[in-house]
Amino acid sequence: MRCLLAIVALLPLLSGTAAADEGRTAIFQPGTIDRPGSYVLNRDIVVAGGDAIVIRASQVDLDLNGYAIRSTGGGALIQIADGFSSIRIRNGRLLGNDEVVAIAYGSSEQAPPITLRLEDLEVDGNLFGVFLGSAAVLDITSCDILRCADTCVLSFSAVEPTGRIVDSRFAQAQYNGLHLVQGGMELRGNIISTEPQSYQRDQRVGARIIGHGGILDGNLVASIDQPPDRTAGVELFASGILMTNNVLDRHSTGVIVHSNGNRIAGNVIRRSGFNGVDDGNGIDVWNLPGDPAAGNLIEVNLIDESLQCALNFSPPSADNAFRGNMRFASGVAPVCDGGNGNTDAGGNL
Amino acid sequence: MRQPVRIAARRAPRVPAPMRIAVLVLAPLGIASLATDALADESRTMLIGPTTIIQPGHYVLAADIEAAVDPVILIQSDLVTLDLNGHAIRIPATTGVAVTIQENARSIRIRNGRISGGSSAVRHLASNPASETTVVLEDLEITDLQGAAILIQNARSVDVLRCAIRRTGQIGLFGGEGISLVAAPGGQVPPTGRVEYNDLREINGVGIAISGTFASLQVRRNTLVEIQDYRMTIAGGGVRVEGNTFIGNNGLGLFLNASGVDLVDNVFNGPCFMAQIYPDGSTPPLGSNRITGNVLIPNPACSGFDALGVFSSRNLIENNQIRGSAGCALRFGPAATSNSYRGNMLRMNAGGAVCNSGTGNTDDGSNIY
Repeated sequence: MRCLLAIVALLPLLSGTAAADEGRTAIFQPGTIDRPGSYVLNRDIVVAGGDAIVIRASQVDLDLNGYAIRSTGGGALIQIADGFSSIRIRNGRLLGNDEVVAIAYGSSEQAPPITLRLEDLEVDGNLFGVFLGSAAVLDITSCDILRCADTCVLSFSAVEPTGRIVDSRFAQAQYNGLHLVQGGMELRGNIISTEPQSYQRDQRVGARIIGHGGILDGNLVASIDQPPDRTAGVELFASGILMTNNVLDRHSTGVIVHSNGNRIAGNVIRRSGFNGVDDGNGIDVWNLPGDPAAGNLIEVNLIDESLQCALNFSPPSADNAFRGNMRFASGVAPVCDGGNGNTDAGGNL
Repeated sequence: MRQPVRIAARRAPRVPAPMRIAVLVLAPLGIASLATDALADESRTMLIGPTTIIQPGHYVLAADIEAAVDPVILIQSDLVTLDLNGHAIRIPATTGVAVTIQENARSIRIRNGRISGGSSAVRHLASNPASETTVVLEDLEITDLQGAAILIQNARSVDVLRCAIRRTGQIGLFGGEGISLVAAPGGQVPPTGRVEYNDLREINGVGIAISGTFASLQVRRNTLVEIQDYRMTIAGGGVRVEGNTFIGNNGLGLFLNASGVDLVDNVFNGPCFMAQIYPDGSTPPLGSNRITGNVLIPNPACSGFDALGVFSSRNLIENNQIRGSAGCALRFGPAATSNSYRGNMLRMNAGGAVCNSGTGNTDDGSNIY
């Protein structure tokens, strides 16, 4: 009886898996991974709809081995069930039709937060590249996530998530490139572009950061404006962000700061605001209800070709300081200060 | 009694009877190889159970290993790569080390898998200050340990790269560091190393503990969250701490008994303070550290802490953004002399911008109050 049970328990895997090299389990058709282990694709998988691969186990390594998972319908290419974590997916392609989610987790923000690591993936033509309802740790390394019909990476969390998105490309996002409810996120060396298709939503953002602390360094962020959709390179709802050495080009507004205590230094922000007179600031410090957008330090940025102001402080932003910035060709003024106690600390050109 | 083997596993794990039959059924698919020792592809040696490695080579796990032995894998050779291959080593006990590296083992690389349980994941304890051990740990996920996750003592060089470390110190209060690196006092050559791209979370102890003087140790781009003790301690010097994020409304910032530390472009959001800087034990009490470009927003529930406490000399503090401290943004203690600060943004701290009870500490301009 025990023998029979053991064999029966393995049957769901037998139909789509086999032992591959070095003890890894090979996957060659749609199915469910329901136990921890190291899995490897050994051919392309194509589905007409529904979830192609479902992960119902923690501690899973899934190596796509250069192969692709493709869908011509809806659903998710890789769906991770609620409550499973420590998942690593790498080395292959996830191809959609503008309707599927490439990698999905979390039915709500109350789902147990996941630890997810993605490496060396090409994710093309999906509604969302990565959609996480509840994240603890999200690492994305050396991935291409392209042609996102909505947002390339959308990550929510009710806890204090962290992670690292480095050396990756998020291109042609019709809504946001990255929308991260993350604390302590590091974004470094990425290429991010938004490309709204027009008249769909009001504001597209390359990287929207909601959650405190984090580093944005060395990213290239661009947009292709198309009236009347506004775009922004980076939008900070978070406090205590270190934003350095980024290049932001062709947004309605380069950087929007809604929060406190950020240091914004050494960035190049250019060609802001060529899709409407309501926008056009290089850096816009702009309070929200309950958040005065105070105490930010803005220094040694190069802000060129702003349709309105290179720096704009909307009321009642307060106690911010700016110094050592170089500003060229601002349509209205280099600095438009409608706030209180914002200080020119010298060295601005 | 551990018996060294020349090539592969010392013993195969016991396979339950139902599974043995299942293995036979699956044999045409290749799964039967899981129960035997064999050469894997590309001449890598497969491991399937607790092992002593006594020859150089490239070893790869062919299955998860679960064993309550100490250590599960003992490395007694130079030139060893141990590839966990996405598999796990689990210790179903509160004691035991997953991988122990013997003293003087050169060029050891452990990578690409998971380790959980026991007291520590990787340990190298060497009494010999001239140990030649060099070790690289990369792409490991280490969880649920009674003590410290990684403990490396007296190595010539050590790299810890892209590792995720969770839930250490489960033995009790402050019971285990995430990463502990010890440079031998009086070592013939100060060690070097890199601790980069790691993610440490739920550490019941110090996040990264560094002791001794290093020739060069780069601690860069790590994320430390929910650390119950200091985020980092550095006792010695020769360390560059750059681009790290220290997150979470609990625990403390950095504690330095050190000189020659570069603390650059880090984000502290949630610790009670950024750093407390004490001398390295020399006379006069030297610091000679550079603290530049960091951002601090402390936990609003912390009281009585200054954001940056300086109790040594000749430190340069510049271009930092410090906001929201319950105490002073900068505190120079009585023993703090000949320090310089400039270009810092020091607004909105309850205790004031600068509290100086030392001598010869100079405001060198461009600070914003």
